[in-house]
Amino acid sequence: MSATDFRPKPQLVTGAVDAIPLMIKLCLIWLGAMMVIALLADVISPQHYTTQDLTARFRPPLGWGGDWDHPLGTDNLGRDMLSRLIYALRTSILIAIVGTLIGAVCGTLIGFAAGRLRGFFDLVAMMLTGVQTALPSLFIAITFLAFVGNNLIMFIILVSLEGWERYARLARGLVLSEQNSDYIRAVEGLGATSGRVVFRHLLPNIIAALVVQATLNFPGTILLETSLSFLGLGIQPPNASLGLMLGEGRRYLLNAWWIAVLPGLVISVTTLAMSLFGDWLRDRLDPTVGRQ
Amino acid sequence: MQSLIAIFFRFLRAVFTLMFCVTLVFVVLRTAGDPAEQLLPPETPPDVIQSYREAWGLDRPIFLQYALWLENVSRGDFGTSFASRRPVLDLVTETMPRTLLLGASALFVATLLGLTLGIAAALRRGTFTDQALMAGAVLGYSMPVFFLGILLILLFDLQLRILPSSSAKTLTHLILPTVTLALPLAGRVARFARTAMLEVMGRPFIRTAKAKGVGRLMVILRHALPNVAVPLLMFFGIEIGLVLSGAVVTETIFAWPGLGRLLVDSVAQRDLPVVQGVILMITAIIVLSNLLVDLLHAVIDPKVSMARTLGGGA
Amino acid sequence: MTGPVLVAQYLSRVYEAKTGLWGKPRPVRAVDDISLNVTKGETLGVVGESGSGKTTTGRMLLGLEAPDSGTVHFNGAPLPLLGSPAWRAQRMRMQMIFQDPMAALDRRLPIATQIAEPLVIDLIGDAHEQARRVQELLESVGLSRDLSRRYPHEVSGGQRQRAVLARALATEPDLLVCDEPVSALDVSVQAQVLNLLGDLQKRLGLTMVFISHDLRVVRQVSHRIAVMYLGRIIEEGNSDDLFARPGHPYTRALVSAAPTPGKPATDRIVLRGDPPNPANRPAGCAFHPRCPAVMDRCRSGAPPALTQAGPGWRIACHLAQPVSAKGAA
Repeated sequence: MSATDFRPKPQLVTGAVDAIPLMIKLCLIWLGAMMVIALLADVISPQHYTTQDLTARFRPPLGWGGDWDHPLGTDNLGRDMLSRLIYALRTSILIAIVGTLIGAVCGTLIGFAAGRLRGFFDLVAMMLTGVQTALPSLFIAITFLAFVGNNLIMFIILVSLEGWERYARLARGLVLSEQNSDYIRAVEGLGATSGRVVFRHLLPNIIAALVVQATLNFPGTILLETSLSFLGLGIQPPNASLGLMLGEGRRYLLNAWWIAVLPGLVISVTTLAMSLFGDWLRDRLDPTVGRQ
Repeated sequence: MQSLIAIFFRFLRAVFTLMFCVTLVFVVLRTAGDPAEQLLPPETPPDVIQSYREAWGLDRPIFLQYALWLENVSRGDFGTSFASRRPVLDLVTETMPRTLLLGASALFVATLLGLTLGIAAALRRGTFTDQALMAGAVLGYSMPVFFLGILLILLFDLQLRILPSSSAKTLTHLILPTVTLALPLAGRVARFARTAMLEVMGRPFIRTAKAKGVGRLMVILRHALPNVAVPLLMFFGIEIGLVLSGAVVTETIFAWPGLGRLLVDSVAQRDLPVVQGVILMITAIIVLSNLLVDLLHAVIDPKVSMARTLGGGA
Repeated sequence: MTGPVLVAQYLSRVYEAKTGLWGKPRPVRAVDDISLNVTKGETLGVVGESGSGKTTTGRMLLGLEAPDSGTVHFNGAPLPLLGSPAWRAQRMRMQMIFQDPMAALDRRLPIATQIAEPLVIDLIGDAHEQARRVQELLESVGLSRDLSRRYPHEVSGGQRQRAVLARALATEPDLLVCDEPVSALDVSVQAQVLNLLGDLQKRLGLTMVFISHDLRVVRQVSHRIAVMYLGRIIEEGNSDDLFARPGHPYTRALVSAAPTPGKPATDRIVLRGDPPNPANRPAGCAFHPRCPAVMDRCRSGAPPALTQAGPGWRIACHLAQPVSAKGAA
């Protein structure tokens, strides 16, 4: 017997901050900071993101010859990089959150409905998840954006496609495994409606797994949004999105690297933090979810 | 017999997926508006549009139009690009090999790099090396492809001036796009390989081989690796789609004249016949490579493949 | 005197059993032409081995499963269509107790919440009244109040079954169907729960159907007993009569295996042959391969019909036929 067997097992208890590794704490701090900045964009941003100053174009950030007027420099139209980053962050994070929520809610509902109704609906839903697995959401999104045209609602719906099929499978699997258990039969025997059975009794069984799935999915949603915006198919100027800023900054790499690199850094660190947090959460809460 | 049934089901699913996507494009096209106006250049005179409408059978019932559409698509007739006035099929067949070259070289690099790092991490499980490698892997696939590409351009083209970053004139032009596309994939492969390797290394036959005094490298090459190959194959089946969507972005950054760049350019110019052709072609590539992986799997491991096919999930 | 609360006539339930992946589905008669009635305040025991169709019968009596043929009348009216609003509204009048109380409760909700659930579903009282009713119910099933915040896995098996009982009683139902309610419990706890069921029945005037494979348990709570074999009732009668003079050879075997306290165990009849399999029903009387008194006529032809053998006493056996003929005359 090795000594490690006698170590107390770490447990996830609310308030047990010590049990969280330093790395995860850093991730959470970063994510929290990004959330706060996104929420308070109007208050903390030094300038409006569209304010141009053509006399101050391509100013470098502090440390590369810049000054405190524009701590992160300016872009090709003399707009303050810091302000634009803050607003772009707000756009990207909001779209990713709304998209993740829509995807999670719709996917879960479809999965529940497929499991409860079975039959034709189930068949169609499962075929659709098969198609979604085979076809990356980027192509589906591009098809719609190309043929139907772009608007914000459409764009958010397309972004929410990322990963919906994973929620659907999770929810359907749970319904099928729990449907014939005595407690579901008992509750149905009490006269409970299907909605009550699903939301009061089935959903709580799966909520932890869904949260983990949403956390793991979030980076994918951000990447889908920023990729589309980068390609010029998503958020349109003069609005700012992290992907769009990067796409615009690409043209000035030689003279003004910061226009592209700064938003790229923000995206990368955010998705990295979310991925690490999601992995950690999965291992903590539900070691069986997400394994192939 | 079992593998035959499994193959049959896989085939059925591939056909369904393909049909679904073709139908989806048809439906999106029709709901978006009059295809004659959509697919013809904006400056086309009304009487020409009307004649095309009749030629394409747009005045006929919708299910006949659908049948006609299926027939055209199956003949590879996606229409004519109104940007270049060339048949879409020509444009697609011209650019596709470059995308396949990029994708294949990225897959190769990613597998080599990912497997090596993943196995190295598995063998040093729990050490700092393991943790660092895995953190690197997460970083690899968390970083957006377009940002990675831009960093590589900044470093190797603009700063060091040792590698070209635009167009596809020589083979050295392939290096930066390949690395850009391969790194995120390598991160995923490394994580996957580590998990698969740890699982295999825990099995009794590996322990027996070790106990018999077989050298470590031999254990890995002869016993562990072949057993990791099957799950890895399945993994690639899933990743093909992601490689292609990564290729769209990568090709755009490096001006690599492949399918992805054609797609993005066509969308920007609203050259819809080309968009439609590229999307269908990419769908076909994904579905066919998935089918190939499935068939290989069904042949190598009929029982498991069968269970996966009939068991519901994908 | 009140009439029957529950009347079931000619109930049958046929399942499709699949043989293999490509096999043709074969019909399996789980329940075959059963008629029953239960009067108010009475407990009907249903005894049978596994595969006798007793659980399916119970679910059909409650309307949780629709019979393929036959009718169930509850308080004089036919049961509403399964899943319809009327059916849902009727749930509060008829309740079921399951075998495994752990499985019958939601692991993630405290006991009190689950006991209150039927009240919430049927919108009985406001939150305050519901809380008071839960306390009442806890008390009436002998659970202390401080258990109400506990989760199912935090209490004992007996306590869990009491909680299930409290939940079933929350809407003051007229009919309670108990399917093997004590067989998952320790023997020492079984008696307590059985006593509780008996007490509650007397106190609340409940009508009960008590399903079990164990004749001793059934006898403790039942006024009348129906014995099932391969989807049919083969004997039905007054609890005491049935024990004193079992008519059907199968009942005789069951009674001999369940000695009554006070009486010396008489010769135990041991049944030979395979346990019954509904997918493979023998021709003639379904019991004939295992019957110690088998005759030629038992092996073929129609199975013996359930016929009157005395007041409130019915037997389905060729041996009992002459008696019934006299009794009916």
